[in-house]
Amino acid sequence: MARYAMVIDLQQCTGCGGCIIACMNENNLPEGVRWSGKMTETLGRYPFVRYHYRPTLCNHCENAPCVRGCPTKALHKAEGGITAHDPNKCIGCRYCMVNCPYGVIHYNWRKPHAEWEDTTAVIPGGTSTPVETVRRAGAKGWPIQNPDPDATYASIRPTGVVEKCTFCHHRVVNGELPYCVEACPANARIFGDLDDPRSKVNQLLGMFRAERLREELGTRPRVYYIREFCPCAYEPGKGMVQADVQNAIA
Amino acid sequence: MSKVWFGLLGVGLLFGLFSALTVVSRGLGVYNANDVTFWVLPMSGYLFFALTAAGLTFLSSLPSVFGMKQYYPIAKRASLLAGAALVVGVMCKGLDLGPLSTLLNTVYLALSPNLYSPVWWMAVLYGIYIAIVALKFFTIHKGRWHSTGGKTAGLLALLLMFMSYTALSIVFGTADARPAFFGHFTALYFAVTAVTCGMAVIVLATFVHFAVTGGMPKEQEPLFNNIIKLFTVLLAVSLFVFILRAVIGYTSLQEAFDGFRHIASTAIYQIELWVGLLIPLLLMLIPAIRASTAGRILASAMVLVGMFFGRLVMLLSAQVKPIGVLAENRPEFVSYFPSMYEFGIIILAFSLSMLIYSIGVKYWNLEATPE
Repeated sequence: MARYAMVIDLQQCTGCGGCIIACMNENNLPEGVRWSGKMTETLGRYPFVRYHYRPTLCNHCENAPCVRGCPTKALHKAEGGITAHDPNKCIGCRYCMVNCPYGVIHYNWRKPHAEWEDTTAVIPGGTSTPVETVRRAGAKGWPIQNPDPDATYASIRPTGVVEKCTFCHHRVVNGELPYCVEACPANARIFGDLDDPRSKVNQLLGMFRAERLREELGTRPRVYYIREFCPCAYEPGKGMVQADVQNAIA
Repeated sequence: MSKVWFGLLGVGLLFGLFSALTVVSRGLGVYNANDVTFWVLPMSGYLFFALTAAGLTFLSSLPSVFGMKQYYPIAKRASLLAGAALVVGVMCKGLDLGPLSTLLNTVYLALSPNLYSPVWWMAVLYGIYIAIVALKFFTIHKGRWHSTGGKTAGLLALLLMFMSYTALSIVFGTADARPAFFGHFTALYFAVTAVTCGMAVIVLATFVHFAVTGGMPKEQEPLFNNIIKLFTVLLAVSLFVFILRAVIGYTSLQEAFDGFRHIASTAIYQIELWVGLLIPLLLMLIPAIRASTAGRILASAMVLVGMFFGRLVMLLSAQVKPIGVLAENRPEFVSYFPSMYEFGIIILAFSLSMLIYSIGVKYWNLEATPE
């Protein structure tokens, strides 16, 4: 049985945000909702400053607290250990948001893509309205709706339920890569099966020390981060500079 | 007086129903909630009423289960108030779930149960709890205090109260990602404050009733003097638990408790401390005030107001500091102020609970005791 995981090489990642945009399009995300996100950090003091960019998504934990806490099993484990969600069972209690330590579960407070139900012409006196645009596109919800997620999830999740990254379950079951992996221009994201010894993810995890977010909680995340964003070098030396020596003597 | 009172309740109910219908039809977007602060005022209403119901159930069980027969005069009133608080609490929780389409999904609590989920147990147990509390009040109202059915209902009510309270505590206690919910300390805090709130409700309801009807029966003075003493002790214990929580929050090295420390610098925390605990305790320690009906009413009302804010403190402590990716492009602490609809839900809750109680006072002879 497959155990899917993702390795993100922070040295390859350029921080372009392409994964965020790609995920939005592939999964019809409403405004303000992101399944793929980022955490950035600037540390140090000028002129010695370093910047970290860490792309994020659902970690699809082996020991997922959101799955354990879901009262109706709307959140459940699908094939390959993917943490899937059934919006038809979701009662909107948001206990998964309490339990998730990564902040990657989002609740639909308002109707997704509601702006596309507007019947007012965008240009005063014009003839085109958002509703008409959607109708002409032959889509549901918004003009560039991608119906593919309907195969395993819902292409657009309704008001009053949570939604989250599914590792593009609808693609994985067809032998395809998650779309954020597909879209990454730098090949920083590598997706594969931990149970396949020859998989790329196992190769990388064998070569490099991997880090996982908040693994001290026992969640056993399936998203691994390897290497560093910036392979900076520094001038060799023993540490204390001459000025410090003089100050120490004085 | 009665017409004015029911008129006020009517106004509250109308505004509350407007808010409730808006929430059910449009969803929770009308609340000032977001993915960071997602359990807000309606959820605190649920906590407040559910825990108060637990305290009231415990108090109404004192004579029938624990054999403390001197408390029979408050048993029926406490039983009704427990039922009212419970119904209202569950209503608040329902209005925190979302639009009608989501509410209909609650059928999957039965069709697709997850026995590992504390929320599932909470939902099931509170559902049973409501039925048992209703049965208990029915048996009391029919005068079957000592019948097999009456005793069974009383015992079951206490049992379901304890199980439901436990499930609720576990919901917060097992949230490992949110240490600022205070883990399993929550169970102690909930237990103590639940009984205190229950006692405050009893004192408030009883002495308002006495004030309206012309005074306390002299034969019940010893009983209510004891109740007031017990109330004072409960306030002191609650203050101790409050201080203990503060010690935990301020001494912890975990960054998550920064949220609690932030909330502790806000008005709602001070309201819980001063209005909910310190001032009422001081009032009850002054003999002249403790012996007066007005003093007792004021103190108990203040306790309830303060404890309500305390429920919001408990919720926001673990939410105002965004976690994980939610911290990106957000301040260290987010702010929250309820929307009109959230206030409407709370107004509905209080109006409905007081309506149920007022109907009980008018028609169901809440002073009844076993013959």
